[in-house]
Amino acid sequence: MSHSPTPLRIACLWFSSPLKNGELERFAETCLRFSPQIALRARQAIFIEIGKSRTLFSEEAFIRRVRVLLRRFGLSVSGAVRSRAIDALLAARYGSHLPEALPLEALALVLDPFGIREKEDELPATEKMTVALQALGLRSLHDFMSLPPHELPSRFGAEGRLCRLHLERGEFTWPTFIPQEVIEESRDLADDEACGTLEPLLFYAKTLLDRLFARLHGRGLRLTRLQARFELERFSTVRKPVHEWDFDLMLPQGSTSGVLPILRERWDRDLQHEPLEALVTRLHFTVMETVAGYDGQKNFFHAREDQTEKMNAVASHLRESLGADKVFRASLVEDRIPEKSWRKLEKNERPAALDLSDRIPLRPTRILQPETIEVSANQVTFRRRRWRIERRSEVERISAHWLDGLQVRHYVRLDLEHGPSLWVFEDANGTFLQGVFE
Amino acid sequence: MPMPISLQQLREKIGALQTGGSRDVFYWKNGSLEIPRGALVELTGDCTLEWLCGFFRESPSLNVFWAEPEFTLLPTALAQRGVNLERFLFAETGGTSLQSSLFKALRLALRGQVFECLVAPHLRFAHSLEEEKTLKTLQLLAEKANSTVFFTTSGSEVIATATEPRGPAAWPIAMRLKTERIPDDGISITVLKDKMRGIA
Repeated sequence: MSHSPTPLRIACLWFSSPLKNGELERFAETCLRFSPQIALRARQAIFIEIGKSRTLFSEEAFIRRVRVLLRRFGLSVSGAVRSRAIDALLAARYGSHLPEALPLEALALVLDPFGIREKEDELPATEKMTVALQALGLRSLHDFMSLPPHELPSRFGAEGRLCRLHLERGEFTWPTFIPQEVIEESRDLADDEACGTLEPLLFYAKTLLDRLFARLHGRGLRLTRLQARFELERFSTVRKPVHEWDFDLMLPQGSTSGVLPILRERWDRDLQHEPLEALVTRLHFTVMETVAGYDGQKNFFHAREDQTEKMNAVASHLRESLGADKVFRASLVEDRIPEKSWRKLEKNERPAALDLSDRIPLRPTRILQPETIEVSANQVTFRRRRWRIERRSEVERISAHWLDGLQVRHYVRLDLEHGPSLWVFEDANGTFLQGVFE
Repeated sequence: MPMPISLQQLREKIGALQTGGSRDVFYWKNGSLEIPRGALVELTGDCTLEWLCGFFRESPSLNVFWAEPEFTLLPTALAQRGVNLERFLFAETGGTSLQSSLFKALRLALRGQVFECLVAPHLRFAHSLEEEKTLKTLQLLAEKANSTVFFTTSGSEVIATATEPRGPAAWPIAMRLKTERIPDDGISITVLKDKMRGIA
């Protein structure tokens, strides 16, 4: 049984003015969310094959989403979606892909749609051909197409023949697009933008973070560690012209809204302690660590991914506010010593699936620092208070960790009359209260 | 001549009772007890955490934030009682001012609006007005987040104060429960205060 190939739908975004170095690549990264098949025309155009993603989003939805991304990056384009890359490029550049509507100058794009042959300091290879065609009285690509094909090589060389072939067949090998290794975003602040207080800095930081997260989202990544840098005006009185922060996030973040409160918290605290000595002229963010993002599309029927995202943001904010090791998730450890029977999870670590229900006797809900307690046959005395013992459990002997200097302990649970149940142990040094069944 | 007003009506006017309104609730033991959502609940007695474990075991999908100034909880014990630890986020608030650090942590967690339940030892300030103000803030945040904040006794308090609750519950507290151990490892619950049902 044979499958007919999926019809191609190629979107081309044409940037009317050439972009700055690396800007096109950065924006192309965000477009990886639509399709992995992306090609660039150096500093001028992006090609995205969206035909294979037609069950995920419509062309209208694609256009709306691209508009949002363009706004985020402050870019403006003209774009078109066609079945062939060459048609999409010509339509994006000239507003139509029909040969009657296209001037002869379009041959430069026809010959080299991905800008591979073109060198920045050279005129397009089609320049001579265009002048010659105009001298013959030809005005559009339609006129060019009416020339007999066998005369093209002798009159215009290989370029003439290639242009004809490209227009007829429209088949190209797409150059591979490889995103930049380091994900970073920076902004130079002009004289009237330079600022030294928190709110304006957060305002500029938000724009940069929006771009950063759009790029991470395109690559299917989430942020776990971020470096932020402020560069100040270079005056002789400024002792520290560069301020750097390292944000090691407790849980991966996928949006600006999760990270911005953390930045605010840290910057607010640090700038109160060490104010900026001059205005900030440059903000710079570098992604230091990432983890793989969500595997697939967001579920239509529940918002679990959004909920996880919000949870991660709150947990990271709490960690920033209370201290690195003060906010944690817990995982069980197979150990009979109560204080060693659990541990704080490292960041991005999943808890171990461990069922201790039948392996060790029931542990108390609270563990206290061992404190001396007097236990007699039927009563206990603790901090000058006395309780009658109602019931005693069997003795549990724990003898592990001799290397750490822990002695053999004999634990027993004491249920008290009109009081909580206590967990006490006896070792060579005496009897101690260590836990409460609260 | 104005009609005399009953004590019940006066209590409703100052928000000490909330009868008549319908609110979200958590059900415990097939509806034998309704725990209000978006409210503060105080737990007293000698087995508050055992009862909480049972409550969280019945609702394993709840996201829980558990904060303590000095962390004395044993997570192993929770897991042994069938509680799903994956949904728990713990915090040891510490700090120079224990109560205000704990308050700050609870406030941040409530503002996030992602936790259905929060557990913390009871906030006790030297000045009763400060305590009421703090509790009122938490009550408003809990209402907005539709979360329930459980106040328990802290580890050292359990032994020091034994089983009796200290004085009447502060007015922002919507429910006060007393837990007691009964034979065969059971737990009995007594509702000491419930604004929704008019028990004050």
